[in-house]
Amino acid sequence: MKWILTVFVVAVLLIGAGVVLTDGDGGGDAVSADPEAHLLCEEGMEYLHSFRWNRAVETLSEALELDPTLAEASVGLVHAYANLARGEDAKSELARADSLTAALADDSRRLVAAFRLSRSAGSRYFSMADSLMKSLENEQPRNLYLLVTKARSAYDEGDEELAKRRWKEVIEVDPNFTDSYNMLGYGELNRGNYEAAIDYMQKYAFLAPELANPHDSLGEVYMVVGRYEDAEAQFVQAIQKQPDFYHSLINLGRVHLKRGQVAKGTDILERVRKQVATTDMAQRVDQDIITMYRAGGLDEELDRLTASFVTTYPSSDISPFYRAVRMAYMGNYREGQAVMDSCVSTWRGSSYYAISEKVRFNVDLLARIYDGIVADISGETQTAVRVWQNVVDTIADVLPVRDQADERFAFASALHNNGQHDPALEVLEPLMAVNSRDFKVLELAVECYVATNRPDAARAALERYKWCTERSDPDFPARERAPVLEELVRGIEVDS
Amino acid sequence: MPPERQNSNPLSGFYGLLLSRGAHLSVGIAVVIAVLFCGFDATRTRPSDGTVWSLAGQDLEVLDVLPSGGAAPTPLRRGDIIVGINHRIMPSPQKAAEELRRHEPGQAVDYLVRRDGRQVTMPVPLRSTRVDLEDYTVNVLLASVYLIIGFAVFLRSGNDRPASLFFMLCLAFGLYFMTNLQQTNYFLGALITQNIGAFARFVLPAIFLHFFLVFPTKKLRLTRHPFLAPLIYLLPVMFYIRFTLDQVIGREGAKIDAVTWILLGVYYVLGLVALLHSYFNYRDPLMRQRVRILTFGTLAAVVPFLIFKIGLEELTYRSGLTRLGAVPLVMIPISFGYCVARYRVLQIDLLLKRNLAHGLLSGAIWIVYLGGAWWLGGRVLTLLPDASPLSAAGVTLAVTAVLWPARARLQRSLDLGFYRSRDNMAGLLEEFSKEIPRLLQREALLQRVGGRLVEVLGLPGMAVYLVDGNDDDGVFVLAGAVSGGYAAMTGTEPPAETGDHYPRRLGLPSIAAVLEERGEPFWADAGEALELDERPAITREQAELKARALEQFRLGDIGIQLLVPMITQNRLVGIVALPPRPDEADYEAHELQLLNIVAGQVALQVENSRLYEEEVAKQKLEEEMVMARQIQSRLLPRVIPVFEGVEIQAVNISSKQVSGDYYDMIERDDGVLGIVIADVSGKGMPASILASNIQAALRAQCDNCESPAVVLERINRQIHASTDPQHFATLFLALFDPATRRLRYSSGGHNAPIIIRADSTVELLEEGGLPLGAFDFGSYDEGNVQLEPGDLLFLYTDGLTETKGLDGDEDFGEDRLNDLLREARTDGVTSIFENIGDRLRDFSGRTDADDDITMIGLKIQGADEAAVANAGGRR
Repeated sequence: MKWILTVFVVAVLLIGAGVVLTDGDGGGDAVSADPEAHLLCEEGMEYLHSFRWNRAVETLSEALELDPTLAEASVGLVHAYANLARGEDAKSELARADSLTAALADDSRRLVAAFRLSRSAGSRYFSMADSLMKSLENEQPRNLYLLVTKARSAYDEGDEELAKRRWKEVIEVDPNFTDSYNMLGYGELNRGNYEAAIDYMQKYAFLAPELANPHDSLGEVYMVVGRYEDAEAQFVQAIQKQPDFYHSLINLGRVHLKRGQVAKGTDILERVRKQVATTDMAQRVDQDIITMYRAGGLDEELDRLTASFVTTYPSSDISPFYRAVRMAYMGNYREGQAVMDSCVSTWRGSSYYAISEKVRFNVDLLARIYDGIVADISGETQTAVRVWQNVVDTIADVLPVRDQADERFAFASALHNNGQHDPALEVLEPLMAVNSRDFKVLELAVECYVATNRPDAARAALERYKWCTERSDPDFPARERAPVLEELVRGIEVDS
Repeated sequence: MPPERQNSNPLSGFYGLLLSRGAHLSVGIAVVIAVLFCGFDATRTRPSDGTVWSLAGQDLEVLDVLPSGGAAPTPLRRGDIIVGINHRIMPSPQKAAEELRRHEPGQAVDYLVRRDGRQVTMPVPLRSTRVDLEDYTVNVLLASVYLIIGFAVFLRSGNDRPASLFFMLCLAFGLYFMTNLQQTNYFLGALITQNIGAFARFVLPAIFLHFFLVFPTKKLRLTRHPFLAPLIYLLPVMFYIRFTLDQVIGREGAKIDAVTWILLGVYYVLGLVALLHSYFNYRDPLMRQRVRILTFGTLAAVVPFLIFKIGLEELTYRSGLTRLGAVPLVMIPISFGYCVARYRVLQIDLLLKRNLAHGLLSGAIWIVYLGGAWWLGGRVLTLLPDASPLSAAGVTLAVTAVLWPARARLQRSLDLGFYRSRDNMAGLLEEFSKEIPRLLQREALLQRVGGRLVEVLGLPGMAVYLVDGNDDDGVFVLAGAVSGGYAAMTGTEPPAETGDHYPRRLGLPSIAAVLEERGEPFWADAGEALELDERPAITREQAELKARALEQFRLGDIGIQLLVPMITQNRLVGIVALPPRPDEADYEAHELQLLNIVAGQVALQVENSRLYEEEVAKQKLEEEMVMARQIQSRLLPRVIPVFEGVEIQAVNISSKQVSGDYYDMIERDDGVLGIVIADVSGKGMPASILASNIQAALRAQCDNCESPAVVLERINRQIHASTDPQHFATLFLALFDPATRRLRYSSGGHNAPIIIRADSTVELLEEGGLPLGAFDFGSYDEGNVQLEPGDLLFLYTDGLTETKGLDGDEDFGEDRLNDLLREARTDGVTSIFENIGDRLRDFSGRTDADDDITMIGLKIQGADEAAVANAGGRR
């Protein structure tokens, strides 16, 4: 009898524990009374986090059908539609999401949903973004969306280390939050940690196999480190997954150009242009290609495309700049300057210039950059030094160091060309502090060290340079350049 | 229990608990649950990538790659770090296992793997952890056979160590077979199964070895050194601990390596050696036959297992040999089952026919019970919305508890129907346990217990024989017998003896030795005896067997089929002899068990009774001795008469046992002194009484008779008439006239007194006749001696001259006495006595005497001595 009573006591305890735990499960994290809607919503959010926008739309829509009051699903749909560029759908869904969020009885859920909506312009919560963020920091400091927002802010502000920490916090909360790997990958790329960048990008690609962007990102990293074959494969994969993913098409062309396959590269780029000619992206694509041609020194292609751009988009704000640059490249400095002056005065006369500091900054910067370009083309080294110094001074306290790379490099090159090697190194120093493996910067630094007869520093910079080139494809330009630099450094080492 | 024993071993309680039947049963139930779990686990479809993962640390590392076993090989390699599965990053093994569970075996899943510092994506084909259905079915069947036989043995045996070990062996084999699965280490269920399997694989060889060290005979070394048994398990337990640690912190995954397999194989080999050693060391062919089948069954099972399973499959990784190694193992339970049923090894009552029916009906009750609990539990669960697994378990438990009394009642009814006799036996045992200790009278004990046994077992009769005194020759004396008729004689006193056909004495030296050694019932009508009798006896062993066979024939002739030994304190004190049953049926095992237990209890009580009787007799004897000593002391004269010129002294040295020595000094009115010394035959009270009679007669006769010879003749006739011929006395009577120093004497067979003359010559006073009381026709001669000054007359009893020396062979003797007397003749009598006492102590090396010693000294003093004596104030 005793043990029968014992069994009864155990049974009662088990039933009690079961009831308690069941209630706990039901009332804790469930966002819907309908378990199926809850599961669909969770699944939809996973798709959202892994950039599977269409699947997210499907799943979240199903969840909303089962539970029309499910605010979280609606908020998720807003982001999915926005990423799919389905503006109308996003707008109408935003209205529903706003009202559903306002109707949420649970303060915690309402706070999170409102915070997510506050990132979308047009939402009633848009203006409350800062206060909502503070509230969420107090209430749920480990909330995924809060951590993501903070990580993005840190990246935008150029605080690479903080951004890295924030994204890792995001991964701790949700190891499958896809964008965190993308951002961490770019962060590591910017710092010259190419292996880590590749790892993150591979994870990014693994997590979002249906998307073109991860492969494109991975391809970009490969391209930077001179692994052109791998880069090309990734771009091709990206295009296969999303044939209209023009970033990868452009990158594919860029790879060919970098490998010296100009005809093939320009052919691809032209096809891209034709492919997007009738879309909203046409102008953006042309701008990207123009930048590419100018960086690659393809003057002929640059001239042709710039002429085409100015003709095609005469009313575009950037067209006069391109026209002025084209004239400078053609040697018509005076005409070019006139066009540029006219353009700048037009910009400065606009109302945007008056009210927006950012516009003012961009206009002034563009004018100075033009001067630098002209000085470089004309070979006036002293002018170039002065002009580029002007440019760097303009951006030094405004932009993150990583975004000053082109301008600083141009300034350092001008200094180097003008025989001012030590100042050139000083200009390069912040860039090397951020990214100690940037080939272009390292090459210039080695030349400066050689010129200033500093064999140890030259050797150290050269080793970093070679470490990267040894892992690159044979046609990587830096790889061809490495023996030349080696000769230079060995020369001063022998002398010393 | 005495306090010193209670404190002797603080772990004894725990050890006892560990070895208790309850503990074994609990283990059995746990194993059944584990077996069911493993069986259930085997039916789960668990997709596996064919690797072993590291369960500790941050990285999900591939520790080992399992053999593909016909499935598509995995592209994963040892050392790979699994970063993601199916386009999801895997932060832990649990998440990874959850992810795999979403897929089906046969699918290929994308893995993101870090290999050699680089990340690669690869499709990994998933396989199933399920084994081949046919193989596993064979394993399940083997496990079932082991468990059924194991439980049958355990439930039918007492708290017997070999039976318990056999049970454990069967459980371990059951677990071994049920865990023969292709394992993965990242599903909880698979992990549990893998650990159960590993535990069984490590512990199984140790139990195997331990079992065959105690069965069929316990090895002497294990008895002498009890700590050896736990040591057997030390190594396997260490292996298991290492295996467990390897699962968590190991760098190569948990597995049983070749060295471990070899060591475990050695355990099996040692177990087989122990079994064969026991088998070939049986001198008794009957005992050997009892274990022959199981010995060869075990050999036939384990040898293929060692060759195919351990040797080829585990050590050389040759697959496909499972059945060759495993299937023969079924021989172990089958051969044991056969021997249990046929020869009752392990002392098990296995009633196959009844067990089958009982088992089937019990199974039906259990099925109805569990089915009812399941159905009712399901009904109750519908009342609880969103019931969790815990609630479901609670409801199931509650329902099973509610239905348990009904199941127990049904089972009880069934058990009673099948095993009422066993219940009766249990009641009878309880009855005997209460009654036997109260029956101190041996006859009443034997009649009461025998009668009850005859009644309940339905026997025609039975007899109880007890060992004949302290005789070690195997001779038994009939102590009591009852017949079946007594069963009807309720309310009457049991008849004194009703088994007249049983012989009064039984000489069974050979069988007695076997009974004492085995302590088990002995079948007197064993068929093998006939064969033995026909063979010539060449060796001593054969001669013994043949002698036993002859004794068996004798028992058969007098209608005795079964002998149950009565053993107490490892000593055979008697036997219970039982005739064949009237219906020619065999005695059932539980009846034999009952007889064995009751015989043991009766043996103890008989021994107690014997000790009691001995104690009573001893007390009685001691009382007699005290009384006899009192009587004897009264016979001796309180005062020694004193005469001028004569020194007379007497002394009686009593031994522990009161013997019949006696002396007397009778002073007649005419001044003549009668001197008597006698030695009455026998000891104790009879001797004292006879001495008393002789003294009374002598005192009466001496006063009015001048002739000692005549006195002796008269007394001889008187004693002979009043006592039996065994009781007699030697006696010397002398009439001494102090005035004339004349001595007339006659001896009734007594040691001749000695006269040492002053010139040291020796004379013996030998005239007389036969001892008094022995014959009625005796006549006695008479002697006459003149004593002179300086002469010494010395009378004594044979206790003096027959005192044994240190070596135990040589007597003190008359020559030694004569020499001593001659040397001391000039001394006073007291001094002579002291001298003799000293010499006797030196001679015998003891202070106490074997027999009574009585001495009388009479010395005729010279003139000087007389003056000294007178100066001392004597009369």
